[in-house]
Amino acid sequence: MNDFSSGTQAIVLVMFTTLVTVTLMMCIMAGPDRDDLTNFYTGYLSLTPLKNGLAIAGDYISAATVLSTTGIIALAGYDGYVLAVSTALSLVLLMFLLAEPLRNAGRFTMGDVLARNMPGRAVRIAACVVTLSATLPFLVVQLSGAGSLLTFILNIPHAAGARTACIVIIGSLMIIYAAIGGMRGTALIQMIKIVLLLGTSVVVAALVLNRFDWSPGDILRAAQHGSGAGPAFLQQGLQLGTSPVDRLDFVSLQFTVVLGVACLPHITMRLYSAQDVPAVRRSMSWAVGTVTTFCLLVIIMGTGAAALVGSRYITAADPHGRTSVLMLSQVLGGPPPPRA
Amino acid sequence: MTYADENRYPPSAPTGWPLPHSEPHGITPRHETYGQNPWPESYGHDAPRYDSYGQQAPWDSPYGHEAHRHDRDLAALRSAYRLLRRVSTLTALGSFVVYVVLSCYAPGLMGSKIAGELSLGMTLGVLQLVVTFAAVFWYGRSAQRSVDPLARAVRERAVPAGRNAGVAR
Repeated sequence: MNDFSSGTQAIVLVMFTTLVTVTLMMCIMAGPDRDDLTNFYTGYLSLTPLKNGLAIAGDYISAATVLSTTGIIALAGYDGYVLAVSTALSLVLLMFLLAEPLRNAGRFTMGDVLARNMPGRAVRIAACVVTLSATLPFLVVQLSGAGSLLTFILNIPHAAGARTACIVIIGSLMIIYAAIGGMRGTALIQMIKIVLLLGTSVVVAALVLNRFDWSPGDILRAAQHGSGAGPAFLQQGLQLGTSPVDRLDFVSLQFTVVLGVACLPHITMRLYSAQDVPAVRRSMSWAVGTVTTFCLLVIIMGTGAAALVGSRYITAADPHGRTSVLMLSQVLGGPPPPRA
Repeated sequence: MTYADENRYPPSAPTGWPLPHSEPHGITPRHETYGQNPWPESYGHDAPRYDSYGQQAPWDSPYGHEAHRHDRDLAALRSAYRLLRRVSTLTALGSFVVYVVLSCYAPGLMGSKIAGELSLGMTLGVLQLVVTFAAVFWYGRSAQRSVDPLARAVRERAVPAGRNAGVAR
């Protein structure tokens, strides 16, 4: 599936196992001391704004954001750019509108605030149903993206249940991380992840720009050529279509992302572990800065993937383009793949 | 017997509401860090929270002055917050809405090249991301200038009154 040599494959396997072991150990060490429920969820209020902001950014930049958004940019161009802008803007809206009131209310999620304002069983049930119906599809998307990536990296053959087994393993790992680490442990994991992610993204984006001698015009021209769609790559329409209904679809997709992604419970939960309201504002500033930088890097990486890998190879590996980052780094690191 | 200030300062809690001492004590004190309502827009539950500060009803105690000034501070804080939030949200969301609608319904305009291969749409998108940094910085500074002093004043006035049992921190 991927063309790693067997030596590289062994290294990848060893690194993966080491990473899982080390992060699991750090999670155990950073986790809550006793069966303390409040501090499980608030992390002893010990996170400084920088750490909290990085953790929020790490939580926000999920597997779907990294993989899918880059894939959409690589395959559909302009549609992906707008999606990246919406992703960054959603967190900005959270910071302006909801972060401080949520912290003031002393509650974890929007559902909690609703149940607090309107006490009663029916309201709690409604809040639960809404939260679950928002979180479950999100979870499915994350796990399937991560499962695809894992089967690709570990070069697991296309056996019938192989991908499912990978997804189950990843899901169980996530549950173990969260259950053992609590807020503080998972914050530590997210911080490590976002630092690594930013570092590698900067390197990949710099390599892409270097390959094209730092001229954006060259990259865009090559991307238009590589995607096989020409000028349509730089206009809205490749992802969803150009008929009026499709355009409405596009607009509503962007609005859903802008208004919804940042309000998901796993992000708003982290606001409560800040020490007080000015700390919330500072941590959100850090988070928004990190996410915006990352979205700019994703734009560069996606365009580079379209230019250097080409949509044919990307869709051959995964029709949604979720492996485009990996294929891009392969191309940048080694000899270019044979092109027709 | 009328108190001297009864006519000058209207009661802070409108009549018709249960008197503070008859409020069920099961309601947990909802005094947040700044002592303000987290949802300034009224959801119909805004008003009763006045009670917490309106407890010192003018006809009740010598702290009538304090309660009234407190309410004015709270109102000032709330409107400052509201203004800040509305301006920042409208700017961010408004420019984004214009961007998305333009890119959908005026593809020719957004596709027009302005510098080599760079199209207007792409430039606007990247510009939005870059402006976000400035927007966040501006928001922090505005909040520090307009909202924080008011919040500090409200909290300082609330704390000596001893009403803030169990402030969530």
